[in-house]
Amino acid sequence: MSEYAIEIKNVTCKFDGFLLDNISFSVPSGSIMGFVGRNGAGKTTTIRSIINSVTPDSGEINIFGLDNRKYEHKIKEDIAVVFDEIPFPDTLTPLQLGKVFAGLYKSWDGKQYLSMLERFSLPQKKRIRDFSRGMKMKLQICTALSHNAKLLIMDEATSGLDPVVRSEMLDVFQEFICDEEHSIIMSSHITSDIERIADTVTFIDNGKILISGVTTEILEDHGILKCSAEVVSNISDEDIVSVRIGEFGADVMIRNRINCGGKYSRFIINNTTLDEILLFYVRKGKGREWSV
Amino acid sequence: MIGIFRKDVFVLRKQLILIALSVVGFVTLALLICGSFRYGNLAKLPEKDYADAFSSLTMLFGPLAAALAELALCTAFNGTISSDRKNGWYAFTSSLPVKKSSIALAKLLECASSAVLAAVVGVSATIGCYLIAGRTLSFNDILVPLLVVGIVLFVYMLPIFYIFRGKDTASFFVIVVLFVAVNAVLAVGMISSDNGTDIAKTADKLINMLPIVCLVLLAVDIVTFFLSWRISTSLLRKCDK
Repeated sequence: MSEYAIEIKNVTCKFDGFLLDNISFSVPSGSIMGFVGRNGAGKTTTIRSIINSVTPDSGEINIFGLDNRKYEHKIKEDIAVVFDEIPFPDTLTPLQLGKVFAGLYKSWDGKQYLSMLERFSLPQKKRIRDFSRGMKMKLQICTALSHNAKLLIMDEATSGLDPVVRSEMLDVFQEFICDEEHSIIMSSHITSDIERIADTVTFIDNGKILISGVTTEILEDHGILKCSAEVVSNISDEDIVSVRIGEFGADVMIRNRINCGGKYSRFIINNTTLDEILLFYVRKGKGREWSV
Repeated sequence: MIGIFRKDVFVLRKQLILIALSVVGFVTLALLICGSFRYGNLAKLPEKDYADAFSSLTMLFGPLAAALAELALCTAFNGTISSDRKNGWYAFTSSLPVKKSSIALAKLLECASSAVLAAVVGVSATIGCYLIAGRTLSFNDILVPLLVVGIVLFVYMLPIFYIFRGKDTASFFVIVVLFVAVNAVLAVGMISSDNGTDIAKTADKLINMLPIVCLVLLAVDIVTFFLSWRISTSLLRKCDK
């Protein structure tokens, strides 16, 4: 088994007026990677590059250690993709859908599919068009997890779902990776989900990777330093991601928090969230300081 | 690829039942009319020429049944191109272990299977109608529905459904092409006949050439199948990119 489920090296891709600019990251086997970015940041284009529906201009994409273009057919037997909108004809029933998928995947497991439908309490003979959004997403998950896929790719799959359904799905994903052979890449802008289940996280904006690493390390490494706007100039540039100037002072997103704790001991450094880290990194592109 | 077939059949299940009922209804009506040519009031017409004229309509029912079956089936199957695009199925197929060429091939095979089914319906209807009407059946009479099937298949195999992205305009385009094709065949026949305005002579001449025309059409359909497969595959890839 390859060390990485996905390995993207220096991929550049122009698609529909959008540029994916020399991106590199990897998803270790047996882990969940959160792929975070605002709308239009390049998440879907990256995912389309991974499944080879968009051909990169340069760079290399390996899945399970195999080139994704050369071994496309073999790789696709082992991956499952869940999109934000259900792509199945809405006149079909889950039962019919199962028969369709049985003709598409060699390793389709009909029993597993039926038990997944039962687990999610999805009616087998009801048309998809009569399903709620939550039910549709569950159905996608059922099809994705019924052909022994080793890699699950999710493109904004949990957006628009209520917290109960999201939580139910996150539990399924955690079960999916517990045997260390399965991996998930989960693109989302709901960072609370990512914080809950992702082992690693990659931030993307404007087609560029902002930061990529282990989720807990990223959270521990960053912090919000509270100070007045006048004192910001005393803080070294290399420690700052960007600065939010507000009415009552400045919030400085700092990196290398442990060092900063010693260097700036007279200031309070608070814990931060993935949401804030994304916000400060995205704002950094428009200048070091920004106001609310 | 079996999955793609199954999907289209499940999606079109109601339509396919309606098409089957319409074709069965049409053939039953045709058989009843042919029966009336032989046993009904039409057979008792005092003028023999009138009775013959009505009876000659027998030759139309088989080709019409074939055309009805094939047009309905091919339109239904090609219509899924549009719905597949709308509900994101094409984008989703990029994640499946199915090649774009297989997706294009599935649609072409659906049209070809429709043509085979339509040919069976057309030939059976022709034989049934001739038997019931008590007319002598020639080899050329059986070839007429096959000719119709071949022409319709040619038009439906053109990759225009992908060029028009499966929109309704594609069906309109198909009708225009069919109209032009049929008229072109008639015009060529009329120009080459001794009396350029005698449509009956033209029809006779065309019927005599039927075996050769059908063979040529079969060859054209086979070539179109493979060309269309390649073009449709590249069009599908372009749409995806």
